[in-house]
Amino acid sequence: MIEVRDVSKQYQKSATVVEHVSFTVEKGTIFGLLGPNGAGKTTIMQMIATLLAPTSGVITVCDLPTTANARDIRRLLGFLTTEIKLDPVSTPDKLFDFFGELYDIPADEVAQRKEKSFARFGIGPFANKRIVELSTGMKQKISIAISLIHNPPVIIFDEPTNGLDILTSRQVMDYLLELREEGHAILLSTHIFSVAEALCDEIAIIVDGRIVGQGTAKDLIEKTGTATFEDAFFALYTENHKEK
Amino acid sequence: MRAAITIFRWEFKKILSNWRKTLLVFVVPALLLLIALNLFPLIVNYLSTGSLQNRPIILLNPPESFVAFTEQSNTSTIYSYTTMSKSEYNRLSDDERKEMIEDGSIFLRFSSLTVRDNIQDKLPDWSDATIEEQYEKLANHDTDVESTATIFIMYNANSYSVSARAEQFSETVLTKYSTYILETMGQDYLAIGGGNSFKINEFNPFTTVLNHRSTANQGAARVLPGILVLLMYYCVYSLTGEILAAERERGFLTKLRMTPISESSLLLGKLLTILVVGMFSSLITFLILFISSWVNRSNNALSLLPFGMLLMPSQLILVIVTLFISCLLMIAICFLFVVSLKRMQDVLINLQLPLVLFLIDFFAQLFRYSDPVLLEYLIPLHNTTIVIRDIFLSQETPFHIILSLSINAIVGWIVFARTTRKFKKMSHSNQGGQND
Repeated sequence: MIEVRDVSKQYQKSATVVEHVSFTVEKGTIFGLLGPNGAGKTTIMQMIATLLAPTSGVITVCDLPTTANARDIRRLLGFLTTEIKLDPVSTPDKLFDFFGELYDIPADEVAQRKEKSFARFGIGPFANKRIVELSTGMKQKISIAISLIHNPPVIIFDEPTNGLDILTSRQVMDYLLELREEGHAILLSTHIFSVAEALCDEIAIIVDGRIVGQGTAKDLIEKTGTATFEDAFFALYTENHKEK
Repeated sequence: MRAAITIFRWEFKKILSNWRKTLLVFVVPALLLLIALNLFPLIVNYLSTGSLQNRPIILLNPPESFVAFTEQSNTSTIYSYTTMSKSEYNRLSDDERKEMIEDGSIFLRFSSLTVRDNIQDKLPDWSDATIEEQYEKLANHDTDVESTATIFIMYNANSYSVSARAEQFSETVLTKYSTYILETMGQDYLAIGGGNSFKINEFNPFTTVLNHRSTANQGAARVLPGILVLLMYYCVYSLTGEILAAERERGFLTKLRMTPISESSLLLGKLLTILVVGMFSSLITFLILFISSWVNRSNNALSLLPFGMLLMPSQLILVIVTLFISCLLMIAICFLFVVSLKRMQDVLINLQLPLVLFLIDFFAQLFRYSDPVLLEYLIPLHNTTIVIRDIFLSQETPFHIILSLSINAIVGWIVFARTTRKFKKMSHSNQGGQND
């Protein structure tokens, strides 16, 4: 459902941040991008989400190239990143209705989805509170609920458990597994080994904008001849990281 | 367009749901201005005379016709009078007279003198002849008496506020008094067949309003266009900072960009919000300034908005259309600042720059007495001030209005198109890679 072919990204007057990256995310799978801060994970996700155009290479979502069909692709995507915050003075209830309208979802359907999502994440009691008054975990759950309001087949979550307590992290991880069972294609970025190992069907290790290892956690352990997934990551990182 | 309306409704409800912010944007600037406009003459008067109140005008030996005139006309509501006889005046010492004049008193001395008297050296000797007597002489075909009835205004010319008040008194009251005596006592002169007929002005409230309007609109032409443009830009730039720059900073704009609506619709929705709020705010400002003029019954000489400001319906429509096009251009410029600059701090600093230019323009117009040149109608937004000024002075021409509106509309369209193109290329994180 997501196909990234030989994609590079270079900003004006700065170094290349993504170099010849290729991978595919199939329906009903979770694909993980694992790497340190500044490796290029968010840039890759933004290119898939049509927020950035690749310098070279091709990205398709459900067989539609991102550079030509941005608005169609946005209907197919649920995108969540830590850099996107909700409007602090609005309430979850109003935000849900507003985004439902922007996605052209009929009002009765929005009401049904809202009821289901709010029940799933326990948002109900906070539905009419302003976002600014809510906890970090609750904000993240509301962000997830709103990102998936249109039930998109493709989901891109950039570090969805970042800054969350263990209970909320677990809730989010369980939800991602549910979505996988429902047949969604999920691209996930994280720098938490346990999250990548527990959730992802396939993992790409990103170092300095390049994929330096790709496969299941087990494959990567075997390829590097290490004992744990964490050791495998550090072996690949040490081998491929260029000091600037 | 439907998506733009959805964005507009969302933003507008947000503004209305926060009543403090709404008040701050809609009413407070105009109310503060109303207070400032009314305090200005009081402060200037206090600084120059040491008193908050205007002193009454002292009438020295006034003729019956002037007393009758002040009772009939509305000048007694604007100026207060006190009468002093010739003997009382003569009893005052030179120091006492000097002190009274320095304290802001204005003396009005009615006198008859011959043209041979030299008024440059000193005031002529007191004469018991009155203006009524001049007319008696006129009725007796005594042509020598022409221009011998004189009213001297004595005031402290070193005080700006007293000078302005004395000049205003001379222009308004004494001119009307001159007309009054011709209309009343001139009848006797006519009855015996002398001179040409005098024009008798029937009482007509509308004529009275129009008499005030001419003077009031001249004052308003200097003050009001600059204020309207300044406050409108203040409203536009505050809202642009809030609903575009701050939303980008928070990342909510990216959330909106991830929906299937087009970038043009997103910007258009926000533009509509600011346009409606900006126009509404301007109309409230206009209304408050209109009220400010009409409650200004004292009509102090230093009033920035004299009593009786009035526009004809067609002129009012022209002002509203001019403000509407200018508001669109202001929004387009503010949007371009936001999409061209990445840091919030840079955006806010740059958004304030036009405010400084509008402030300079405001003061330039305040002290302007020359007519604008053609080139000024070609300068976007400056031409707004000029056109509204022309409308208040009733010297607007279709050519100047069409030229100014076209220039502003075309520049606005070009700027907005460029903003949309830049916005499509813009990312909430063009520097990239900070958190990934």
